[in-house]
Amino acid sequence: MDSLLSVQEVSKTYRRGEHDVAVLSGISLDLVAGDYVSLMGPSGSGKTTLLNIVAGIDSPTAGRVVVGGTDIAELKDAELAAWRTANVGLVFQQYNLLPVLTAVENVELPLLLFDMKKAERRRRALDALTIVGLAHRADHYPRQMSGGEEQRTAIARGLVTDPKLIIADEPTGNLDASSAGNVLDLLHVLNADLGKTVLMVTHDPAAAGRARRLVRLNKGTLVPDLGKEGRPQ
Amino acid sequence: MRFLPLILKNLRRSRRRTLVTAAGIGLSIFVVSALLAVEAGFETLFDTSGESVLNVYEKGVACPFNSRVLDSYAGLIGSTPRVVSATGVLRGLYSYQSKDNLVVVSGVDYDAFRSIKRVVIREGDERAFHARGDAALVGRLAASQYGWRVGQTISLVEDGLTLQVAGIFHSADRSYEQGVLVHKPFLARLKRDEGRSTYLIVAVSDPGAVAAVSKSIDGALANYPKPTTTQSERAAKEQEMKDFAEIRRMLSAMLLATIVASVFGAANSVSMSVRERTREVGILRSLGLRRAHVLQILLGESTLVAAAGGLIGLGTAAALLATERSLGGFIPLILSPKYAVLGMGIALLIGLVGALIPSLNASRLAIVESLRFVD
Repeated sequence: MDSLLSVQEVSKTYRRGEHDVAVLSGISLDLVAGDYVSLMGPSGSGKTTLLNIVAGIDSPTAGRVVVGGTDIAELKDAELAAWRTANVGLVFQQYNLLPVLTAVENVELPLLLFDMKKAERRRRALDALTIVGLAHRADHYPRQMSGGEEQRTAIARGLVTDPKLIIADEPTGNLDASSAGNVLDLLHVLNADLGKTVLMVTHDPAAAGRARRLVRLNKGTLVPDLGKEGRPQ
Repeated sequence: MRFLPLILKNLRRSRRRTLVTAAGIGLSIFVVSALLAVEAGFETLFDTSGESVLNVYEKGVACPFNSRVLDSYAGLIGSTPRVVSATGVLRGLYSYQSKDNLVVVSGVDYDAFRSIKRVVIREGDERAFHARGDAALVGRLAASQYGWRVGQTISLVEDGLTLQVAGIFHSADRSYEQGVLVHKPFLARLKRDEGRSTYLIVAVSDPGAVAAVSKSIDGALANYPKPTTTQSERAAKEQEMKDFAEIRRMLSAMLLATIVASVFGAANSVSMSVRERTREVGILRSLGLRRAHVLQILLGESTLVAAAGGLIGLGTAAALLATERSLGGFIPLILSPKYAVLGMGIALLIGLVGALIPSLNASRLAIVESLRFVD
């Protein structure tokens, strides 16, 4: 199958005072189109940093990240922003909805960057909310929704530009078991039915178990690629 | 603008801060408008009709209102080379309704005065003026300031001066438009000043000859009972306004200080607003908004608040100037369209400049840093 995402020898070092702290060291990882990969590891192992680099909201100190044939490290800031809108749907642990906007307005937000009429934007946003089962909550503000609904709204926002890659950073980290189950079901639908490639960071073994593949990080390096049951592939 | 709904919603989120910021800018623009209205009033006082008119005052008299020259000088001056015509003006300072509303009444020989000062009135009004000894022509600025209408009887304090408004005149010299013209013999009788004028106005055929003609006039009258000092009208007015130069400089300094204080105020408000929303800036950028988009949103917000403040300030100033139309009854307060636009421009500038640095900083912050931000 075609490689959708290729992380090649990526390293990331932060300067903390007088010292350089290596967060990622020579990470290489490939995802094919339609993959569903869970990224696990202890706190501080570099999971979120790797996710941010793949999403183009952080940059590697060394190495390349090629997504759909584009080396995102070579893109200028404005190009990277446009690339991110079109190619990546981001889902955060904290939902990251704008409190002043209703659900449908939050979902519509990335579409403002496209040359698209208002009616078309609204139609697509409502379609995305329908996919996540929240069309009836379109005009509600985040403060009027449960955590699970907020996260599903955030997933609809990640979905609305029809990106190939969905990147989720602990999407169930703030949810109760029932809501977490709904969100994981939704990610499964996006992967299995809509063909989205999903890369998800999680601490929850049950959530990781929903993925097709499990990747573990420890102290900034990958441990051997494991299958769904944790067996080496 | 595609981000306008987001901008409006952000402004509604912190209503109190938005209102306080707009009110602060509004207060500044009110002060700026008031200062500009005074400045516009000064401009009308300095706006003279050409350089080819001379004023002949009594020599050595500091206050122009106390000057007295003889009417007979007009004939002598009229025969001076390059002088087209000369006529006397007798002036009196009166107040209308309140001692703060000072009105300059000028007694003139209308036909001679009209040709020099290019007075324009309706034909019927001119006939009405000639028909009555106590008739008055009121300048358009005075009419606007006090709401005077043709046919109205107006009473001015001191000397029991009661006048019938025969018409409203326009003149090339705006300083006269703030006052009233009456028949000179009528005013002279009232002031017991027959045969004398406060000053003479002299039309000269060649503006380049003003200095030479002035010298000739003063030389010819040097041995008369009341020697004269002749100067161009602009010079005379500048002399009158000399004391105001310091006030105008002070006005400019106050204007600048008000603007600078407002910029800091707006910057402080925007800084707080931006700081609270650092994380949201990160969210917007993670969704693909570029730095320029974030700048558009943040500057758009502050510009809208500043525009609202500008309208509040201008509106308040306009309402106040509708009731208080002069400063000390002498300097008209005019909120001219030119200065209203300038006031609005200053408001927008305050919003933009005040927001620029905090907005630039917010847009430049790394996305990851913004997303990690906890207030």
